[in-house]
Amino acid sequence: MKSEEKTGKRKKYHQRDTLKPWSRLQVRMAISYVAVSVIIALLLELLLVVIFFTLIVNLPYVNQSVVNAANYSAQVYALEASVQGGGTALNPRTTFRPGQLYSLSAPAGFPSGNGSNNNSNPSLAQVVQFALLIAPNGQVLVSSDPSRYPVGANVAQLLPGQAQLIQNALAGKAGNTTNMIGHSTSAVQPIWSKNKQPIGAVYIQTPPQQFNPSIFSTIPPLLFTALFWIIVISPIGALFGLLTTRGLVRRLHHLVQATAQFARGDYTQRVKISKRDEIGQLESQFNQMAEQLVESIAQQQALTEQHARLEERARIEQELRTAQYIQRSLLPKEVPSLPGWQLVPIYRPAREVGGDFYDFHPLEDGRLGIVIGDATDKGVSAALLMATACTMLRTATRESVSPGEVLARVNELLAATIPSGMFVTCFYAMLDPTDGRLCYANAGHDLPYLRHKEGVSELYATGMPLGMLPGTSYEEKETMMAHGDSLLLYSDGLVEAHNAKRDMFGFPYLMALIKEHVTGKDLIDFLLGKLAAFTGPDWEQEDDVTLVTLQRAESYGMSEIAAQFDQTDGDNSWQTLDEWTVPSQPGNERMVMERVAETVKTLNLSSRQLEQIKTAVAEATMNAMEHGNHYQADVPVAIQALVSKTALAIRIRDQGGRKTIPAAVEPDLDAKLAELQTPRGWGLFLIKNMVDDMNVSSDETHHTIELIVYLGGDSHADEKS
Amino acid sequence: MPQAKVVMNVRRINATASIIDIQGEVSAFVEKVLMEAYAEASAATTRAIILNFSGLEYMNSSGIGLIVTLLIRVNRQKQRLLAFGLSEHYRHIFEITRLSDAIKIYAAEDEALAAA
Repeated sequence: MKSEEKTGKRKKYHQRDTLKPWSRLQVRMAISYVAVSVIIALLLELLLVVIFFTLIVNLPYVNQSVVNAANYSAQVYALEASVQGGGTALNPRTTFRPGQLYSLSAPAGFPSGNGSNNNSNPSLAQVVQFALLIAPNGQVLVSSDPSRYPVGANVAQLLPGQAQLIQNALAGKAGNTTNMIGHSTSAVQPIWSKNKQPIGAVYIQTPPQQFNPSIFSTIPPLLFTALFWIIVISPIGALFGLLTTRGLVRRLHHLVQATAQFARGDYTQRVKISKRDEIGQLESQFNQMAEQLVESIAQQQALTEQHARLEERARIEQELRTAQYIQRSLLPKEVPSLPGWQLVPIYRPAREVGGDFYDFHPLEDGRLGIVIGDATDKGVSAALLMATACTMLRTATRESVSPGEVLARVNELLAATIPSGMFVTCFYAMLDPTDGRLCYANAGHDLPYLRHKEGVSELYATGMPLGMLPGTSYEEKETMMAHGDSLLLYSDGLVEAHNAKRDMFGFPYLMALIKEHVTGKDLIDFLLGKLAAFTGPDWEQEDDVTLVTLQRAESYGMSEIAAQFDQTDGDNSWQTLDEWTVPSQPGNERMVMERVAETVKTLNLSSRQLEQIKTAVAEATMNAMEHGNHYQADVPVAIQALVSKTALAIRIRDQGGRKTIPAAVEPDLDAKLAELQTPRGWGLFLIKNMVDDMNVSSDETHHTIELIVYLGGDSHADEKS
Repeated sequence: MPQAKVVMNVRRINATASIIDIQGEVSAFVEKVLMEAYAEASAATTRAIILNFSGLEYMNSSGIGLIVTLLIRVNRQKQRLLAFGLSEHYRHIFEITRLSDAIKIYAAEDEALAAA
């Protein structure tokens, strides 16, 4: 469910993250640019309109037709005044009467003031506001508006702005002027006499000009220009908007795409930091965030993987332990002791159990069944198969005394139970320790090597591996093992071991080594040493290595034993009381004990000391026969009794060589009664408590224990107790 | 395995006490003999098993191990193990092995029986 939700969310992201060619942002920006442009255009237009109208209202306005009409009116008045005056002087009575502008008769063709308006020119009444007849001395002679411009007043005082103009007219020069503020036009004309001399002047002034309403006709064009600007500016604004936001949108687009990719799980997504602006910061922060995320994801992943690895390792370890437990629990705990024979197994499991096994089956007739085998596969399945085969072999041995028959029976049982493709190789030998007769059969196992005086030979017998094919019969053969002969049974872990150069240990090398090996020494130690030298120190064992050696002891003579002591004992302060050997046979320790007691009789030891020496000697001899010589009857234990001025020494020597004494656990009766310790294991404890001193020494072939009892005092042993 | 050089005679003195007379050696080889003797000596009502070591010729560490084994079995049956007739040497060994803590040792048969 969760994953579905997630994919749904991802789809949504996916739909959003692809930008259209015109992104919303770009469109919005373009629209706002257009809006701004239009607003600016409208504001500018408004400004222009305001300025225009202000100027129109306030700037000087001269209406030429009014000026012309004023000039003409002045001319008409001047001519009339000249005529009325008779061409010599001005007649103050006949010119303008107060309030009667038209008192002068208009010349022919000039439109009269009283209603005749036959042309487009404005009539005098329309044109003239007031008129003054001015005497040459500059005084008002006649006035059409005497209330404001009274007769006799100085015109220069009345109209200071027009004084110069009037002065010029009195001098004979016509003129006009327009008052910029009042919008009234003044016109002057000299009045000529008959002899062409100026005899006065006429001054007229038009009424103030009205504002021309035709100005309003300029508004539609203004509106039209505004529309024009809007049409022109809008696309420019839009284009500008698109162009300026393009880079911005592109950068955002990259960010959006990178984020979307990242969200889809592409953690390599980073963006290029384009500029140092806010988007640049966003890009930089995106990169930082991505790095941190990647790092934390990696850490999380590493943790998860580590956890999984640990779990897997624990599971494997558990399985390995199970397999090892099964295998170890089935391998024999003790090696049967055969007088005159040395039987030594060694099992070195690979890290993953390989299915090797060996077993010993003591038969009722005194013979010993010796088995070595290898189950296919590895791990628990191999261990289980090996366990099954082991158990079947033990059971079959109780029912038959023939190796071939034992193998045939087990084969039938296994073939019926185990899956095809699985099988067990096995070599089965039955040894008669009394005469060295060895009867054997083989179920596809590597052929054991028998080393004898003439050389090395393989113990060959035909037979299929167990569990492979029902109805298989196994060839049975027989050979004899003479004194000094040795037999090696082994698993493929030895011969198939590889060194660093991937060379295999191999059968020829193994055979050569067995030939090379010196009789009497430990064959297993020798072979393991050679294997270690072959593989080198860093070897990871690929398969189980299982070796079982069976050696028949050489027959020793007494003289040889005595010589061994002579070689090693150079201490002259010791005087030898007695030296002899006994065969390593159970019960012989009593013989040694009695002979030692007899030998030390002359030393006048207390009965207590004597008893203690006897017990110590018996224990030491038992150890020598059992652990050193494995109760091989023809491998003797040598005993030497020596005396010095102060002490008695009993040396007991076996053929155990470099073997270390089994680590002695201090016996504790309470632990033994609680069954936490074996009830046995008192030997060394007794020895230590019976004598004053105990020394142990070993060389290549011998192991010697020396018991010391100090003479002339019976206190030492007592103190210990 | 060699024959055990021992003879063990079982005497069931009464319902609660039995004596095993040991004649010969106590070594690894006498396990069968000793355990058979114990089986014979131990009845349902038996509370004390008395070992008579008067005839003991030789006892080694394996023999001590056997006595420990016997002691374990006797303890399991909620019985007691007693002994008499030990020589000074073996008494000493019983002491250093602390067997004497678990097996009450008496000088003579009547003392042992009286304690049983």
